[in-house]
Amino acid sequence: METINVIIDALPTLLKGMGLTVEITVISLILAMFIGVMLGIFSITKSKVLRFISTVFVDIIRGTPLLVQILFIYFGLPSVVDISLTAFAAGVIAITINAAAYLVEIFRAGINSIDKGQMEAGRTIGFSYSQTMRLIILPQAFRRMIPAIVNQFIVSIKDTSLLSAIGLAELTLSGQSIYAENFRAFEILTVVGILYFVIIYSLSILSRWLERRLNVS
Amino acid sequence: MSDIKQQTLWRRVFMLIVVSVIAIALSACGTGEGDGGNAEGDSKEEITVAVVQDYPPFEYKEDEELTGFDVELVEAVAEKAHLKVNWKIMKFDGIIPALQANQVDAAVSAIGIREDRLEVVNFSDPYFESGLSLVTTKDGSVQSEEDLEGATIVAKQGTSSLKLANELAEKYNGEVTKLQDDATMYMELENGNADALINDYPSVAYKLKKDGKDSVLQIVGDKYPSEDYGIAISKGSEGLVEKLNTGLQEIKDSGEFDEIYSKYFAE
Repeated sequence: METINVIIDALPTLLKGMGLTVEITVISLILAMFIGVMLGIFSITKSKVLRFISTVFVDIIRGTPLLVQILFIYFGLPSVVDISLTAFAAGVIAITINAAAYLVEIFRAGINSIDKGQMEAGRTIGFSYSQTMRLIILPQAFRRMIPAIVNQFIVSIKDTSLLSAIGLAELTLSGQSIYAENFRAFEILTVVGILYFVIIYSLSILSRWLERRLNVS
Repeated sequence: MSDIKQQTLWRRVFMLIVVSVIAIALSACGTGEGDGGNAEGDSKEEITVAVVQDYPPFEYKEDEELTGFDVELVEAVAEKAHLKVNWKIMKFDGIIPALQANQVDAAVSAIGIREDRLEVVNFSDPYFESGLSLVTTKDGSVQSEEDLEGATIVAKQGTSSLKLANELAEKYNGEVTKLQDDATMYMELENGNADALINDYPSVAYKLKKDGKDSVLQIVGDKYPSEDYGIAISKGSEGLVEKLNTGLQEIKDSGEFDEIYSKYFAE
């Protein structure tokens, strides 16, 4: 009975934290998609400079742990550059650039996975490079990318829990604050886990629906 | 085509070199924490004690070695009680849960003996009287407790300071930010992301002393009362409370306690 009460008392705080987790995830992933598409296109152009920019970005972000990036943006940068970021802004930036780096690779791989013959065929019937890209290559590539993109989204949602390190009261930190006070770690962490599952499972359902919608066969 | 191939080959070779250099450099640094069980031959009972590593002067790392007032104290007490201490470093807010889950036998980290904590863990006799301080920046908007109206107060997760911060925030319609370690709390204040900070007085005093004249921080008003510190002991560790209390009494009687105390808290 007491267990139920502990959970009921904790729920408002946890749901607020869940709200913040969802908010950060949504903003970050929308921004990450833009950056990811842009750099993804950079990485398949003929321009060496653009390819270089994209490669350097991906290598740096993939080659360092997210937690270090978060701490670097929030505590490291402001002590050198004269900017003051809120924890929320720092969190969104960190998750965005991190997700973007992985999305770049997904886009690159997706576009490269389309057979060269498709491009040649498009050019043969008189389409320009960009028309072929837009009308023939990208629609096919995007369908193939969906599972990988959804996978990255799920990873990013879970990554937001690392933002507790900079005092952002998202779902994980909300949970920690509660059991730091009432010492009911088991109940609280169970609920926290369930709430994460709810967020991620909803996304999975959405992605399956999307895949079915885009299925040509 | 071959141009691109050559490029990737070069990049690979280059990256390989970079990575190797880093790896070699890092492995050369070696942590030197060879904890090969000392072959003393006497069968001391071992206890695992949780501790944080970033709370000077109570516990901190000096040349890779864990040290500080709490650390030396527990080592001395354990010596008297014929125990061998295995330190287990963790974050402050994980300490009580670890004691509850019997992952550690005891914990020391300037832990205040509090009613709610007593329900879930045991404590030794108190060994330190403390207090809490309100810290602000010298040129900031908060120069007294009354200035906290609408201010953001930062405190550490799971501490008595956080309780006080919550009370003050309620009283003055402020906000509370929770962080997990001291360094980041002070940064939060110095960066201007928070207007005030609540922390244990000894830790604040240490920070101000370390900063010296350059410190942008100041203590505002008098100390707020807080609990005495004790060694927290898991309810699952039978008889450990008595052993540690006896040891504590012995070092107090022998003058060893005062020696350690004056080493860290010399005025």
